[in-house]
Amino acid sequence: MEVSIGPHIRGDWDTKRIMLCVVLALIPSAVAGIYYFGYTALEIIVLSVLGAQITELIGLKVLGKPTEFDGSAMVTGLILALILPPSAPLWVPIVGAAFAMVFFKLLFGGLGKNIFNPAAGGRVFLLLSFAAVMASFPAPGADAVTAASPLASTGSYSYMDLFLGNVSGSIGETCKLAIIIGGVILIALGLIDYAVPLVYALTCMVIALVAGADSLYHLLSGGLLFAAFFMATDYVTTPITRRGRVIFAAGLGVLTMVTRLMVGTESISFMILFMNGLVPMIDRFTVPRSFGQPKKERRARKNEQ
Amino acid sequence: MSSENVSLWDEFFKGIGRMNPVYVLLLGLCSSLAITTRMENAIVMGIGVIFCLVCSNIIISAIRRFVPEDVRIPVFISIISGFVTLFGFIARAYMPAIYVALGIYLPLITVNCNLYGRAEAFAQNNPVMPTFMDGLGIGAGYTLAILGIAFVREALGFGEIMFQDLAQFTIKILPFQVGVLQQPAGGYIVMAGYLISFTYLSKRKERKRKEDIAEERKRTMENRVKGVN
Amino acid sequence: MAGDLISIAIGAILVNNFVFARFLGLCPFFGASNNWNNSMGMGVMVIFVMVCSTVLSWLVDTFVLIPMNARYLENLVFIVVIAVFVQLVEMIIRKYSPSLYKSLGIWLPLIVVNCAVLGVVTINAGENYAFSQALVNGLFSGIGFMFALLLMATIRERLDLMGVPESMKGVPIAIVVAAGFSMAFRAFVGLI
Repeated sequence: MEVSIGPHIRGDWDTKRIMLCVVLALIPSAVAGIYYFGYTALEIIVLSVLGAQITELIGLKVLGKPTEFDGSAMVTGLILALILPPSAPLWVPIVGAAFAMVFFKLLFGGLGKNIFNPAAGGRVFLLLSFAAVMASFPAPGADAVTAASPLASTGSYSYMDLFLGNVSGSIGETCKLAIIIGGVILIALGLIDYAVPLVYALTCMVIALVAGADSLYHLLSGGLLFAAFFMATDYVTTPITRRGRVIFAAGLGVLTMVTRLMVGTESISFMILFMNGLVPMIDRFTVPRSFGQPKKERRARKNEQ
Repeated sequence: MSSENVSLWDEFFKGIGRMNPVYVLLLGLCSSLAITTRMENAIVMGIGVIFCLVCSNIIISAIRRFVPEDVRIPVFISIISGFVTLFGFIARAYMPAIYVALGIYLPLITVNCNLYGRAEAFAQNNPVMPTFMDGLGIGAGYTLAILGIAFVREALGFGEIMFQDLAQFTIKILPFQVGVLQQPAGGYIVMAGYLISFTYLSKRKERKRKEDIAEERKRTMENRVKGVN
Repeated sequence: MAGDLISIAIGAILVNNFVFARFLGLCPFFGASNNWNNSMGMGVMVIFVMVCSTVLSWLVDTFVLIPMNARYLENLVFIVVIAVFVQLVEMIIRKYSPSLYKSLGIWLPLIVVNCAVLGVVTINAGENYAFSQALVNGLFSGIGFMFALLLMATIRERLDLMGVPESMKGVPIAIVVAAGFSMAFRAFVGLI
C-alpha cells in the first residue's frame, strides 16, 4: 500500500528526496553546535542518527514492511540530537532515539501514520525520565562549567550572542543564524509553509510584549526558532490546510509563552506534542467536508490556495 | 475428579487467563494505572478487590431471585459499596500508610467496572459456588495483572522495590531511575507494553494454529490421494 | 476567591485531567472514544451527571452526613444518590423525549459505574470544598473529560483511516496516544 505523508507542497518529489533536503537544512545548525560545543556534540548527533536508523530497520522488519531507506528516521535522529543538551551522556541519544522511533512512530505503523512528532516525543520522554541529566547545559567552549540555559537567566546575554549562538543551550538550538539559514533553504525549496514559523514567532512576540517581557529576547532564546522551522512544520503531524496550520502555529505560540511566563520552564517539546494531538480536531473543523479523501483531492485543494 | 469440580476450577482459571479483567476485558483500568507506582499498594489494592468482589458476588448470587430487575443497579452497587467501606476501615486500621497512598482509589473500588460487571454478567444468574470461584478468579487475575504493571513501574521507575507497611525491606534493582514511569504517563506506557505484547503473541499463536491446521489438512489430503493410487 | 476558582478550573482540565493525569473514567473513555458522535453523547451526559451529582452529594454531605457525624458512610451514600439520580433521569427522558433517550439515554446506566462521577464527588468531599468550589470542580472535571474524549475520538477516526498494525488496532493504540498526551500534560503541572 502506498503511504501518503500528507500534503507536501512538492507533490512531485518523493519522500527520500524531501528528507535529504531537510537533512541539508539541518546541517548548518549541526555544524554550529559542533563548533560551539566540540566533539561530544558530534558524538551525540552520530549516535542519535544511528539509534533512530537501526531502530527503524528492526521495527520495519518486525512489522513486515519494506526496509528501504527513506531518510525519515535520519531526520528524526538528527532533530532529536539537536534538541539535546551537549553535556548529555552518550547513552541518552541512543535511548531517546530508540524510544522516539518505537513509541511515537513504529507502533502507529511507520511514516505518515504517527500522530505525534517522534523527535519531540523522544525529548519529552528523556526530560521526564532523566531530569537531572537533561537539565544541565555547559557554557559553549568550556567543558565542565554548567550554566543555566538563557531562559532561566533572562537578560544575561547580549542579542548578538543569542543570535550567533554563543550561549548555553541545546546543541542545535543556540545558533539562530544557522537555524534561519536552514529555514530559508526549506522555504526556498518550497518544502515548508513560511506561514507557520511566521505566525508562531509573531504570536510569541506579541504575547511577550503584552506581558511586559522582552519580546526579542524571548524570540532569540531557548528552542523557539528551531521548533518554528523544523518541528512545527513536520508534514505528518501538522494540519492539512493553510488555515489549520495558522491555528496550529498560533496555539503553539500561546502555549509556549504561557508555560514560559507562568510556569517559568521551556516546554516547547511538550507543547508540540500537545498541539500534534489537536491536529485531527483542527483538521475536522478546517478541512472542507472531505476529511479522509484520497490524495488527489487534497492536492487539488492545495493548488487552489 | 468429578466434572463439577473441573468446571469450578475452570471458573477460577478463566479469570487469570483468557478472561483476564485487565488485559483481555480491559475493565478496572483506572485503578490498575493509578495505584501501580508501588508493588505494596498494588498488593493491598488486589486484596481489596478480591475481598469486595468475592463477598458481594456471594450476597448478590444468594439474593438474586428476590431483586426486581428495575432496581438492581442501586441494590447491587450498595452491596458492593458496603464491603468497600468495610475494607476501608480494615485498611485504615492495619495499613495506615498504604491507606493514605491509595487515596480516593480505595473508595472507588465501588465503581471498579469488574465488580459491577461480574454482578451483572455472572452473579445474578448463577448459584453461589460457581459465583464464588468466578469472583476469586477474576480478583486473582486482576491482582496478578496490576502486580505485573507495578513491578515494572517500581523496579525501573524507582530503581528499587520497597516495602514499608506489609513488610520492611528494600531490594535495589537498578543504579538509575526512569522517572517517567513514576508519573501518570508511566502507567499508560507499561500498560501499552503489556497489552501489545499479549495481543501480538495471541495473534501469532492463532496464525500458527491456522497454519498447522492447513498443514494437517494438506497432509491428510496427500495421504488420501496416495491411498487411492 | 475568584482566583481560587480559576485555579480549580485549570487544575481540573489541564493539570489533573481525569483521563491523562488522574486515571478516572477510563472504561467509558476507551469505550466511547471510538468516534465523534459517541464521544459527544458520552461527554454531554458525563458533564450533566457530574454537575448534578456534585450538587446533590454536597447537599447531603453538608446537611446530613456531617451533622450526624457519619462521614464514614460517604461512599455508600454518594453512590446511592448517584444511582438513584441517574435512574430517575433515565425514566424521565424515556417518558418525555424518546428521541433524546435514543441518542443519549444508552449511556446512562454506564455512567453510574463511571468512576469519574463518584471520583469527583469523593474529591470534593476529601478536599472539604465549599459549594462554589465543588460546583466548579464538578463542571470543569466534566469538561476536561469531554475534551479528552473528543481529542481521542478525532485521533482514533484518523488512525482507523490510516490503518495501524494488526496488533495495535483499537484500544492498544489508544493507550499509546493517551501516554503521549499524559507526557505532554506534565508541562502544565506548574500552572497552579
